[in-house]
Amino acid sequence: MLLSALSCFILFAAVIFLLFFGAVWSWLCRRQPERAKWLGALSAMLGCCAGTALALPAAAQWVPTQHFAFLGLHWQIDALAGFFMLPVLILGLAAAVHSLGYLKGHDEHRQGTYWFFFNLTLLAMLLVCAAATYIELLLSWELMGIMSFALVAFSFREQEVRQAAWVYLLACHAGAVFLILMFALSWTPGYTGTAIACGLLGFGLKAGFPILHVWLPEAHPAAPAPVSAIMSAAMLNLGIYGILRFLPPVSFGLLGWLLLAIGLSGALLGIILALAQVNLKRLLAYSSIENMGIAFLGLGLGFLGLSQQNAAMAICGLGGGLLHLWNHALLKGTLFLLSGAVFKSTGTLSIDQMGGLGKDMPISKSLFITNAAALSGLPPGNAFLSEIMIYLAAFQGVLSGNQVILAAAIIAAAGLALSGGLAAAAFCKACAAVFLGLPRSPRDPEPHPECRLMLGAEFFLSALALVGIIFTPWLWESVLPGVLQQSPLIGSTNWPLSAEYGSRTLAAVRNFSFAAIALIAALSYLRHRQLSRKTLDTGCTWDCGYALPTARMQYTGTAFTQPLSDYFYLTKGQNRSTIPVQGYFPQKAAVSITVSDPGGHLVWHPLSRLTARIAERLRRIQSGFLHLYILMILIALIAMLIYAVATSLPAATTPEPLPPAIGQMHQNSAPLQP
Amino acid sequence: MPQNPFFWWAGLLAALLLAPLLLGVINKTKACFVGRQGPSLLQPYYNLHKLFRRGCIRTTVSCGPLAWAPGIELSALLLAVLFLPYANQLSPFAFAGDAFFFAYLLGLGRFALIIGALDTGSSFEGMGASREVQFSALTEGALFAVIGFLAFASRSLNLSEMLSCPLPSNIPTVIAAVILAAGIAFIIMLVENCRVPFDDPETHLELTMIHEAMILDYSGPDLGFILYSAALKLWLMTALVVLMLLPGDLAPPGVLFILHLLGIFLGGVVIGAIEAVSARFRFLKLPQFLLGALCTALIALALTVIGTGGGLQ
Repeated sequence: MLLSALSCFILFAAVIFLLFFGAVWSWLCRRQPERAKWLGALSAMLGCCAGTALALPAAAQWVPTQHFAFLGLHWQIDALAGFFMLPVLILGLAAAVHSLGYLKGHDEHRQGTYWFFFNLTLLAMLLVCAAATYIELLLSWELMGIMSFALVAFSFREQEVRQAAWVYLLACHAGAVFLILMFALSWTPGYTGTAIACGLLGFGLKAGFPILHVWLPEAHPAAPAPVSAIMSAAMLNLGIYGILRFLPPVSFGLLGWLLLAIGLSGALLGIILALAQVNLKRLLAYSSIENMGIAFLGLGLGFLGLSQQNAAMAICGLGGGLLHLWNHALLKGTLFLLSGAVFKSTGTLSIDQMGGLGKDMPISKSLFITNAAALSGLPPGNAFLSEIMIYLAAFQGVLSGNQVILAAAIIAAAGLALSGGLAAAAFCKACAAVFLGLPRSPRDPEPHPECRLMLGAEFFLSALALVGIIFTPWLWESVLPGVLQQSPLIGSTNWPLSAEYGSRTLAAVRNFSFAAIALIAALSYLRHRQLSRKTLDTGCTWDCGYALPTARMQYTGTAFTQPLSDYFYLTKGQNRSTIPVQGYFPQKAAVSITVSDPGGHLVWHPLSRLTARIAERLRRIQSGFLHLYILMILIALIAMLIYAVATSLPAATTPEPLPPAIGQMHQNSAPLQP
Repeated sequence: MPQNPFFWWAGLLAALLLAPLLLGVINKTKACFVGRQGPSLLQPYYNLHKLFRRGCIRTTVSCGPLAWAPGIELSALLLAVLFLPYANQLSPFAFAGDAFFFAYLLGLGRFALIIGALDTGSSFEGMGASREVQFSALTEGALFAVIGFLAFASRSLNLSEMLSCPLPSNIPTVIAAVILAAGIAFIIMLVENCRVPFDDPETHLELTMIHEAMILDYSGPDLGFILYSAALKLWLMTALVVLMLLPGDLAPPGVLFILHLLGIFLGGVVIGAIEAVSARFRFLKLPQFLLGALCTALIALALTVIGTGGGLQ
């Protein structure tokens, strides 16, 4: 007990020490890029390994909850913290290795800066998970926002990157403001509802709630690929972590309905917008919104199950939602890292100008296609394991007999199925337009060999995803209930969450998944043997008898999904401009399609125009004449005086409400004593 | 409900062996309707035999997935075969939630074929894949609504119990709902298997194809894999519709076995008749049609909920 506490503390201190001093040292060595690179990367990797040694036992509940007082602040590592720390650490490790390859020939002289912010971002994310009370949370949340802002703005010489980083910074700060409001209001009686709304907005800004998601598709393409991988796979999760740990107590029913609505709209909106994107990383970013939506859908169903006292629905929904976060982290992390490799090889992210990369990068191609299929929720991938749990939760709702829940659950299930189908469409587009077919634009004739470091990181994550399939039933039975009980929102139920339900399904799916892999291998072997005895000819692609197809005659990514995106009114009307085919001997014809984000053009642009108009009006007050300003101060003072006289109740004589509030706050936000 | 696993295994064997015969039945029916003699019932077997003996021609554009896709498609279907309750006997492989696994296995096969089609870089195959992905995504919602209906009507989450449960014969609205849902399942079957009126498997023009346009570049054993998978998929989906309509307590297992085989071949005759007398819908109309199917499935569910007063016992 004491030994475990001591070793945990040493590990915790080691993580902070390694990441912090690695960052600072690498900053100090920034004039010697080679040295800064190795210092930063090694400290990040070592820090992540030490962190894994700390977080894994905590998540698996091999050690009891640990409390530390460190730097004068309170930190706590329990199962929930460990569960959310692990993706950060694993992604941190992979991204650090990947960065070594990615930064080669790409701002090489600024390695010191990169690793400074990289390590500090990792550190801040870990500290967010370890925060015991609101002070620590706000401090590390803000640190995380600013450090990752610097990473997003790493290629600041490009106009779009600066724009994206600016949007990201605003979103981070708006989120922080909402969180401060939430903590301030949560111990003011009568404002609990507002506090919950603020909390959901603040954490939702990080987790990519629909409408609040607008920073996400801007920031991800702008950031270097390893950074996008960390942000998408690990940082978005922290929004959910915040909701589970710090949201003021709220009834299960209300939270369930809210999360269900948010999740369903997020999943559908995210994937419909992902379909229409032409920028590879933007497509992946929208798919992250979809996957966060799926996780929220699971959590919402779980909370509805809690409110209905339906144990099976509760555990399937909550567990499936959390499981989906891990699965998404591994798969999306790999995909973002691969997008980095693609960018290094082609110099562009526009998928309509790529094509045929599969011949230059065969390993990346196979990894991308398998990970994309898995992320679309197809078996034998690991995302299917979490999606089937969410389906089970929904169908428990269907069977529950409550007609309102039934209606919600069936809509949730149909929506999840639709988003699964659309995700398959979006990823088919991404895989095909990038790797398959012929190159659509002239490329360097000399193929770049695939970078070993980048491949290593991608393989590492993919292998973990495969191993994850094996261990999911164990995770479900012995880890997830303990993790869920640590959340103050869920832990207050007076009946334990049992993982009995669903573990048989998971075991069956796991076995059938491996059976599927074995069957595919066996059939391919049979086919190979059969063909090895036959003549194998090669020829050109069948194009309706036309023997000279060119690369420009292929379907582009945009064309591939155009029927679907037209169907959802994304690329119609003013989003499309055409130069039609005219005359008997048509000359040039063209079509240009843009996609606008409804969150942006329906909510944020009108809002910002409104703000600008109000600000424009208010500018008249700023006349530049001193005597007018003094007059205004006078008027304001008189108004305040009148207000004070009119409401001169014993406001001034009431005792200071501060001390009890602080005591209450400690009670509310975190139990410091075990 | 008497259980006899022997008949389930017999049903599995029948699915694996007789699936191409169903295609033969459809083609024969079509031929009869238009007054031709038509190919022999066993023609699909001859075709498969011929294809498996041949070599292969591969396009130079391909970078791999083209060769993998048929195997993945066939594996997915060979696994999906395990979950249906043939002759209303519970599958020994059933588990809670296998309905979703079944649906997603079909999705895996489709994903593989689409990636394979796009691997050729052909504009026609791109067109076929684009259409396939659109219609299948929209079908998915309807399919899950039907599964939801079955789950509610049978109070169960595995496909075996969903499809083999006895009908509550005293409640007319439920029977109406079952027939409605089976109708939707039939439509989903037609879409998923690319039959008329959603797609024409025998059109001669690549521009009007969906599924056939995706497999233009396959030959030899690869094409054989795909044809056999398509036959298997058609058999499975038809069996799904037939089993929805066959109440589990109708007859002893032996009779049910015969009945479900007869039902499947009758389904083949119906498909053939539809193909003979109707033309393909316009592609632009299909999404509306599929959304309509989703809504109808939801209506079936609502009917059951109302008919049983919120819950069956």
